[in-house]
Amino acid sequence: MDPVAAAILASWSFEPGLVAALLLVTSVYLRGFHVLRAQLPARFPRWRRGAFLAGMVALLLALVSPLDALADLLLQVHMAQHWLLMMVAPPLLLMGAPAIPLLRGLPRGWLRRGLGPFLAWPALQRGLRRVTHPVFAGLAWALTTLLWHWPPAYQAALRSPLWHDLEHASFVAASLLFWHAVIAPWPAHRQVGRAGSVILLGLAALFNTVFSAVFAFSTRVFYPVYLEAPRPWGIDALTDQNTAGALIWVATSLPMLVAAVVLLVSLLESPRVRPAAGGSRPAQSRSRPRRRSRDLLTLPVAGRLLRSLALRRALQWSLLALAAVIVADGLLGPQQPSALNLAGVLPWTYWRGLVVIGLLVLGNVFCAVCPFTLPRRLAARWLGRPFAWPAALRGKWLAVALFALYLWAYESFALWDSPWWTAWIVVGYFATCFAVEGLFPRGSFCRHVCPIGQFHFVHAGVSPLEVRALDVDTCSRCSSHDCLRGNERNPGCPTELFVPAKDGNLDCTFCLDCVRACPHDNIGLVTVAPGASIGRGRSPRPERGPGLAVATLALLLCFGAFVNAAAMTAPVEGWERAWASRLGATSRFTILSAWLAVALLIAPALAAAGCAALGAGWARSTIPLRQLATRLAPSLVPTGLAMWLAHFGFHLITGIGTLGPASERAAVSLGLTASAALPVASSMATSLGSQTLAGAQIATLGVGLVLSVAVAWRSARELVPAARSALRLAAPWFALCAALYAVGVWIALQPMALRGMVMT
Amino acid sequence: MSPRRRRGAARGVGLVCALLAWGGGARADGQALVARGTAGAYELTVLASPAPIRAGVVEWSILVRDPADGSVRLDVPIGLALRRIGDAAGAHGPLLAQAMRAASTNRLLSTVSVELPSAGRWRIAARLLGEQRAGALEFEIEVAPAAGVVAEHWRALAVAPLALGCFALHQWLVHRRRAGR
Repeated sequence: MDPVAAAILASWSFEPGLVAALLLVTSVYLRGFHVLRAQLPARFPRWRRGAFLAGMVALLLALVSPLDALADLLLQVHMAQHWLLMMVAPPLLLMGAPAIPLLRGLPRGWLRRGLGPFLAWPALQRGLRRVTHPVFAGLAWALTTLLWHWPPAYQAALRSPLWHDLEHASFVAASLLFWHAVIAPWPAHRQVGRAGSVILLGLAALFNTVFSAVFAFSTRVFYPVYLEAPRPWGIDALTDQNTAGALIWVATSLPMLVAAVVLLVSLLESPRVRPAAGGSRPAQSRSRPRRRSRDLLTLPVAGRLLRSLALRRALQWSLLALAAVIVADGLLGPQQPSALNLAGVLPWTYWRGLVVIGLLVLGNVFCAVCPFTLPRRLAARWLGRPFAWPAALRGKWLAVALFALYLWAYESFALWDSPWWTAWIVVGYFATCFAVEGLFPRGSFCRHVCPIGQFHFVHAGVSPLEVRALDVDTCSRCSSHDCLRGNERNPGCPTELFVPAKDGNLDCTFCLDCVRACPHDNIGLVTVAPGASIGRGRSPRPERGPGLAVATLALLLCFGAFVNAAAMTAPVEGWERAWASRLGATSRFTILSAWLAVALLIAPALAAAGCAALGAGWARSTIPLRQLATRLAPSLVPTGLAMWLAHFGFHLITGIGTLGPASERAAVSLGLTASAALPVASSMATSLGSQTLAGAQIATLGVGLVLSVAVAWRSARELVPAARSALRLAAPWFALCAALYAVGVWIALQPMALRGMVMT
Repeated sequence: MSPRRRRGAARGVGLVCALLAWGGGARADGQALVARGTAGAYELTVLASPAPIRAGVVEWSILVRDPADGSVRLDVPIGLALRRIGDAAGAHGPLLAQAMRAASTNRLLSTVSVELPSAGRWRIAARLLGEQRAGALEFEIEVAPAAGVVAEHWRALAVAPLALGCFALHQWLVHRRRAGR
């Protein structure tokens, strides 16, 4: 093949966001179509699905095929692209009657609770009726065509990707309106009848004739950009313009002609008696099945694997082996650069990022396969568990103190950059767990001590999965309560959660011991709405709230996320140095400790107290401030988790290539290989681009903010039923969430110090 | 296909979509012409994005043609050398980069992204690389200051206000419906 032709055919622009969006819409449509076809086969014949898919293919061809790449050089190619977007894709998509399949393809909860209020909004319904009226739709189509072919607008679209995207979006939107008025896809009703649609088509064809004739018979070039651009195959700009006009004339007339013929034929064949208004609407389902959450344990293969104790143990042993590698390399390997030591790479770059992603995608996956609790049984056998856990240390206060200590130590001793300290932390963790699990009742370490566990317990409120009783009646008939107490074959819940009374993921390690112990097979791993249980404690009664300790933990985790991320930015490091020199402090500890005390302890306490007092005052609420603070402070959890994800995700992406050199170095140290090409670390940041990464971080923070606002609003409504009072009660918390979001955006835009990472 | 498998497939599609959407922006070839001229035996057309050119990452695309017959040449490697005029200390440059066809959406062009660290007047040289292909097209451009934070990240920044607006509207509609009952 001619190399130039081959190069053109290879000019596909793979735009991930666009392809993802088309794929998602197609899969939702297919899901909905399948359900509807089973219920209404006459209404949804196969050809509708084929038409919709063909429309999607036309969109894809228009936007990612070589047409898009060549549109900058040749007007006729650009016009062919516009023809696909306006005259091919929209009618095909609408012939698939997409409205109901797209709605039916969404998860039922999203449709009913999420979209339902919008769909039932009379103003929106009125608005939709108006914009799909043939007069409005025809005018919108013609004006959009004229506007974007006006030379300044056309050239702006060629020069700016943003304007180009807007141009294409408005073409598709206007054409969907136009073709909606022509086709009236089910369940829409024609607002002017078939004859009106034929008249609309006639007027549009007339407009198209005049419009394309201007291009076809022009004697001067309308778009100077094509005069400047290189002319492929020697086609001069004027010939190109004339050809484009002819192409548009013929190609646009064809679908209009076909549509007009079809309409006229159906007009002639249609019965005189019209169906009653609303007669063609989808029939209501007579018996609506009771909504059940999806239980992952019932999945054919995955369910068996999740239940498998052998798999859990295997994963625990694997992580134990990794911990041993971290300890060995941390103590015996080279300390600098830490990115060439497995103790500097595995925990700080990989583990942190992956567990936060795991929390968001699944749930508390780390606790489920925690290696620290593996020797639990051995500890109990050796030490005999002679003591009860001290009453003074029950709850989360010890864990709060330990997590604050960890955050302080992380900055003070630069833990991320010290394989030696990292190794000793792992050793200390194992030793403490062994001692606590050996001397005190099972699960005491997880529930009262482990800061990693508390991080996961609190943030698992945002997770989409929850361990839950499947049928409440079965539990009410159960007297053995094996899920809590255990039996001869299986232990019960290590953190003393009673599954029928459990609400949310707080204190749940996802170990599934309860699932294995339940004699009725009545416990599942079910899907839940992310954030649904935030602000609630272990008790199913929401009015109780999570308690002061859990609220304090939530505040610490949230503010800790921002402090931990801010500390790696250049301005904060600069402020630390400036304050140290201003105060004449010889040690960095003093400044750092003071800063951390303010940011981690004083600021959260003042913020929570202030928000509670302001909200109570404004709403004139008599609810005690402490109760308000404990109920509403956990709403900050999604914002905090978003910051953790933005921070740890950044390290994971930018440092994804560090495992290779570190492993190679370790292999050389052990004499497994002779030499290694060091230091070489690839960085995904290079290919992704720092701007993309910052954008992803900001978007993540935005999602966290929205979820926090939603949780705060729900908690406020549970405290005071009146909407206006609830709004006043929650408003200061909204402001606090927004302020944290702004801080997060600022952090994301700072140059990050890639501490402890080898970069090329 | 059973409903369970369909659900699994739907989740798979959702995951693929999420991964695709996360995979970063596309490389756009929608660029403005900045220079055209002869370099050695070839005619070079240099295009750049964004327009106007600003400090920050700039995408350069070069089309090489044979002036004799106007045919596009795909076998001529091109390098760019960029130097800020008046930068006597040499703090910014010369920046060197090689344009690649593989980096371009339109495979008739060779593309490379170069980060221009500062605004001002820059001198660009598009050089023919390889054996027996001496020649360069030299030109000057004015680089505007970098776009502001809001202009740079407006899409990501718009996520939160838009979603909050939808949420507020949703809650208002729910409240209105309940009050109407």
